[in-house]
Amino acid sequence: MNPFLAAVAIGIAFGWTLERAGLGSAPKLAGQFYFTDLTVFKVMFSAIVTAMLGAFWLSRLGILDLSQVYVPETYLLPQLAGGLLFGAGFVIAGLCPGTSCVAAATGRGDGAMVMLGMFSGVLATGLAFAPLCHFYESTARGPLVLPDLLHVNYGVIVFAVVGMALIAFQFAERLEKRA
Amino acid sequence: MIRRGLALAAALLGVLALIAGHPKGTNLTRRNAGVLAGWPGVRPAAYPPDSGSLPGTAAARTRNVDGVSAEAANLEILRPRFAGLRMTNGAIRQPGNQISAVELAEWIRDRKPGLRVVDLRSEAAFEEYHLPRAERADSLASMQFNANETIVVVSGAAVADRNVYVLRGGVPAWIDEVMNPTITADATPAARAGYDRASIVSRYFGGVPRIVDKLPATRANAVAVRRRGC
Amino acid sequence: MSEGFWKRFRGLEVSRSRGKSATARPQAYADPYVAGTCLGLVLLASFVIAGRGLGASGAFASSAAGLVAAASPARAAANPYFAPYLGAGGPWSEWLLFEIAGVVLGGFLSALAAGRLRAAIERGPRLGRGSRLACAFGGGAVMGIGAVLARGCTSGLALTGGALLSAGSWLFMIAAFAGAYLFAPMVRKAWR
Repeated sequence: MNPFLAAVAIGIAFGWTLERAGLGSAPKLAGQFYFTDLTVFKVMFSAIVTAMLGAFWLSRLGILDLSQVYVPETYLLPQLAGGLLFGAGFVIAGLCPGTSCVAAATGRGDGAMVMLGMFSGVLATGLAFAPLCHFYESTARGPLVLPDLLHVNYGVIVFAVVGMALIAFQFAERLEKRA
Repeated sequence: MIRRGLALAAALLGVLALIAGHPKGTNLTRRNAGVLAGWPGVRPAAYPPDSGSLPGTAAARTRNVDGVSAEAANLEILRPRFAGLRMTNGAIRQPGNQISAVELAEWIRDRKPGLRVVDLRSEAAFEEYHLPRAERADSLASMQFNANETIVVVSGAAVADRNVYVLRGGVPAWIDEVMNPTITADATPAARAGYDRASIVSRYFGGVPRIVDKLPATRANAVAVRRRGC
Repeated sequence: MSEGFWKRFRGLEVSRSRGKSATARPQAYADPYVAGTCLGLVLLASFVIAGRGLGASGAFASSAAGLVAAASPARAAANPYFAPYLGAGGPWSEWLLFEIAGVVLGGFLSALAAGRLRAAIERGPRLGRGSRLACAFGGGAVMGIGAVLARGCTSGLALTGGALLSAGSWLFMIAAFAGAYLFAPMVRKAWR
């Protein structure tokens, strides 16, 4: 299969699903952080649970070689700091990089502006990267996964994540009813 | 309703996963040849370390990254039906060449297709310390290789045959150059460039690059590497 | 896609042929759990087909690298952040660029089918258009810095890394939610 086409096809499915869920609309996304609309949380964690279970079982059945799948590497401090910054930017902009593309594609001017801001932020940070380089490379842990960090079986973590997600969904439903 | 069905399915699969313990199939090995997916431009691929491993294998691990204890050479290979896309790699080398530790580290980090790292030292030495993804064997002849695999012999005699390379300096060179790259503050720019290159891949494997006043006279040993910890 | 989807899509065409306005009344969004499950299946398909997960910020990084390289190749090659994007096929061959192009197309098609295509600047009830655009740009820029440091965004780290149980990705996800919730009261005017 042509890698170009595969990437585009996967992207089309990704963008379609995001739009279907309503995640191409900034006010809806921002509602997550004022507890009025918890769609972001529901979609994100349903996806994580589905893909996690799918990866586990496809690997277990010998259909997917999990060791061949790229696992994002762990860099403790940069990802902590980057995460906090990213979250702050997210609630200001109301859209994340992927959903901003969906918003722009559906005609939302704010989506296009978020994309422009993202690009500028990445460009500026890249150009001024020299002082950040040391921090950027610090606390590397390679492709560290939770089962190894916590010294438990992979299946235990899978079970825990599913359990936490299901409980959290119950809370989310109750929170939304109250809003 | 659909929601309840999804929740139930997730719960069931989650409980079964808890019982199953680890995602590896019974005959699945990490050496599945030619299954690399992706793209020339893809970022270096990583892999989840050995999950649900047995207590005894912990001793041979490097920090966090090594996932594979050596398995016997003749395991049955279960080739997944969906293997991902084949990635072509443009490296051209003459067989029987030597390869530096840093370059081997980059190959391992970048999931070079068909790479096999073979360690011909004793079981005891292997248990004490071995490279990530290395396999132990008594001799090259006792192993089975595919035509498109690249073999790097970490220690021991090489065979000038097919795509066989020898790690220059063996495991001590790996420890020195990849796990503990060290340079003095007044090194030449060329040496500095080599150190920078080694540092990047070193951190990936949990190593510690350092700049010192004086290069150490003796080489680091495996025990010191393991003791450094987090 | 569910049966209901196809009915609505055909309904759109039927209403057009009957002379009603081409943009039918916008549909309701899909159930978040169903949509999330579908998203998870897309992510899983990506693992199987491409051996990697989804992403978005990498596309921005790669295009930035390409821009810098076009302006000044020497500068780009010397820059420790952009240089890795310049090898092996160049910055414009980045997998994520093609994926993001698909995201744009897929979002457009879905909105088209659901009658949700609309030129607008979505904002909170108390915010003017100009201010909204400024917030969008500023928030995007801050996200850009965060994404560079963390080596990813919600798609690449939270979704992909989360599903693969990467420790750093879970850390990023928790930090991102924390950062957003902590900062939300300060920008309340923008949304409520």
